[in-house]
Amino acid sequence: MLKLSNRVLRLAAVLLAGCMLLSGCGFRDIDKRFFVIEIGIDKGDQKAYKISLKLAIPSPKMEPGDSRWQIITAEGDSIAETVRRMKSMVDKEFDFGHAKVIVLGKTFAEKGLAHSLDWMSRRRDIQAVSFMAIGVPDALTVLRVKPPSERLPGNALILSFTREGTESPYIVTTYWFDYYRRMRAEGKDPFLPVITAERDTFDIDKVAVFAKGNKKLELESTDTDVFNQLVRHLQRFVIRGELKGNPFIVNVDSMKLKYRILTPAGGDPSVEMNIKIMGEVEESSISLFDQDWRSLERSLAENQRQRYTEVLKKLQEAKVDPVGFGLRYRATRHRPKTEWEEWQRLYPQVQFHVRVTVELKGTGIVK
Amino acid sequence: MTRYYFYFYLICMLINTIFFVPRILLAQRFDGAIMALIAAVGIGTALAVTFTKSIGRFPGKGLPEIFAGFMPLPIRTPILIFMGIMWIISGSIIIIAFSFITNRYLSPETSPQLLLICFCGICSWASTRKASSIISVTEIIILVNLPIVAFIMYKSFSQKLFDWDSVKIMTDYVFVKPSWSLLAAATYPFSGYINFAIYNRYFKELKVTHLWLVPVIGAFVLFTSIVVPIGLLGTSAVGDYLYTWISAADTLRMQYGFIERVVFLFLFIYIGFSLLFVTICWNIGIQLICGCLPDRLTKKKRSRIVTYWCIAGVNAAVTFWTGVLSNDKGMINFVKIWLNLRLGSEIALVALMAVLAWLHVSRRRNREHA
Repeated sequence: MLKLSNRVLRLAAVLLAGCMLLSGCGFRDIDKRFFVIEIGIDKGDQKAYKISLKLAIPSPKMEPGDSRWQIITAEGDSIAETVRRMKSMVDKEFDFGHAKVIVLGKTFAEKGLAHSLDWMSRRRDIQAVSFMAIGVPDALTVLRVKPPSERLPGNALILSFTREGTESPYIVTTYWFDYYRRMRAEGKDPFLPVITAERDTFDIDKVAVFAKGNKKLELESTDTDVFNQLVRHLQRFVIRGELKGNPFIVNVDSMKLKYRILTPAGGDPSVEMNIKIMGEVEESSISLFDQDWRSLERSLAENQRQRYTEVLKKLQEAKVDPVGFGLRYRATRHRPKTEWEEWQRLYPQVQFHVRVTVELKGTGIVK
Repeated sequence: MTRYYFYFYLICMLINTIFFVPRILLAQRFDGAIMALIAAVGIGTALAVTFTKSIGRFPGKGLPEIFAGFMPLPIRTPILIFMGIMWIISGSIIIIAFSFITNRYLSPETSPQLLLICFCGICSWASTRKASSIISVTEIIILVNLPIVAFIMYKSFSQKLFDWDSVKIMTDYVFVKPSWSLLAAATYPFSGYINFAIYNRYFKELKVTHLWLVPVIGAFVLFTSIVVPIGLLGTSAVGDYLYTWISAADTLRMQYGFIERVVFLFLFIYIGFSLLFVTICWNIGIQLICGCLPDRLTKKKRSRIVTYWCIAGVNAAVTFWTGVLSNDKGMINFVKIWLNLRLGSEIALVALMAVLAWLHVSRRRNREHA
């Protein structure tokens, strides 16, 4: 009997000690915490940073348009100091563990992004899988948008970026870790989606490309879907073809992209890119079923080829490389000391040879 | 039998590919780390096979008993005590590192001292248990956690943003001569076999089949531990991270999972692995030190428990104070020195065991002739 109780006691002691490990939230209860769901970073009017935090207000109801949150804003010379300053504006402790979206103001993002976000890489609680974006006209305005259909605070942006909700071919997604790795890499440049705030909604249809921490190029929405295909290998988009002056649209459900970099001894360096697209007609002004599909495919392929080449050239002219040609060059050449300089010299002269093959699967449910 | 051998091998492999080894290797990824990995597969396997075969000649005997048959007390005592301390340090390093990590990621508002006291307490208690229970617990923890480890590996290789170009860049840096410290770091994951220096006692006959699995698993796990962080964090940026694997696990997302961030799943399984690893190390350390104490302190059950607790208490206290006084930078420098020393003494121990096994066999043959 004595032995048993001794054993039970010991077990209890170990279990009690183990319980201390379970206190995932430290010693502060969940109702004494503010969950930051979106962080907005702008250039301050007087100081270097203007930080806005969107704080979720938990509510038992979950109905469309019922998402409740509050935004607080402060200026400071560094993010860390500003966040400490903001602690005096609220009654609860900030918890950044759920900060899913980080919006950088348009003017803030123009220059000097290499070091200004150091705070985020140092904090353990900023998720590596949080989404980065640029806010137009500024981050605070984007944070303030309240879509009437939103059920949870901040959910509208999260759904757009995860592709769990909308699957727009124009929405570019950048994770924080991917941004950081591209920023530090030689030969693969970072890019950020651009969110334009409207009255009740957002428009995410542009992308900005960076090099060495400075914004170099902003692509218009007409090029953004091509960018998405080239850089992020995004499936599901539409392409346009023409048959004797009659346009038709094909919905793509799979795309494969492969490329090699050739540097022949005599000739110009070139990127040989092969793209295979498969899809089904979604809209057309004439009946297509009995036409020669070969020529339809050719028209689609030619049209896409032009668009790809155009965007690649735009990127090349702006001296940015979001596709990662430089990284591929370094990966396939074995001159560790010189290859990066070689590529920087080569990139402006590179010719893009894009070959597109399109395979039509059908014409929808009508001829 | 064979499966227990691989449990100990695996636990050492998995623990060390997470804590310090990838960080040391990745810090010098352009200066010979890849070659060190390749060499480590060879060296680690050679050491493992030699040791396993040698100790197999002494069925049911641990290191103290084997030494007793060949060496006088004044020689074997310092060797055993040195090895005991090495073993205890290997556990202490992990427990300190793990308390740092827990403090940083899981429970930032708990005081680090309290965490360390809890961990030291749990591990001291566990390491004074019977070796047979520790061996059984190893089996349970490995079997429970291995599927999750496999899942995380699958997740990381199937991550859409895994950048193979970053990994391929490393091929430029293969043919670089590695330093001794790199070799020491890269061979450490292979040294799980060494636990049989004591645990050989509990097996009538150490016959391990499928020894070829040692280099195969070793190469796979080691390369995964280097390739995944490079692919996920980038060739240049991977050097920035202090907790390389935790940051790498944080880049994974379970869209429809119970928890979204894979990193918490990862930390969760490593609680089990770390505490188990420390328990094993300390248990062996205690037994080695007991091996050179007089019989009256260790033979009777009552006195043995007291001795065990005394040693465990002393090392828990030392570990606690080291943990409180050290920081990230001091730890990694200490670990580097310790690893260098470990590789040297491990090679020496394996060589010694090979000689003893050879002596043992020839002695027996002589006796049969006589």
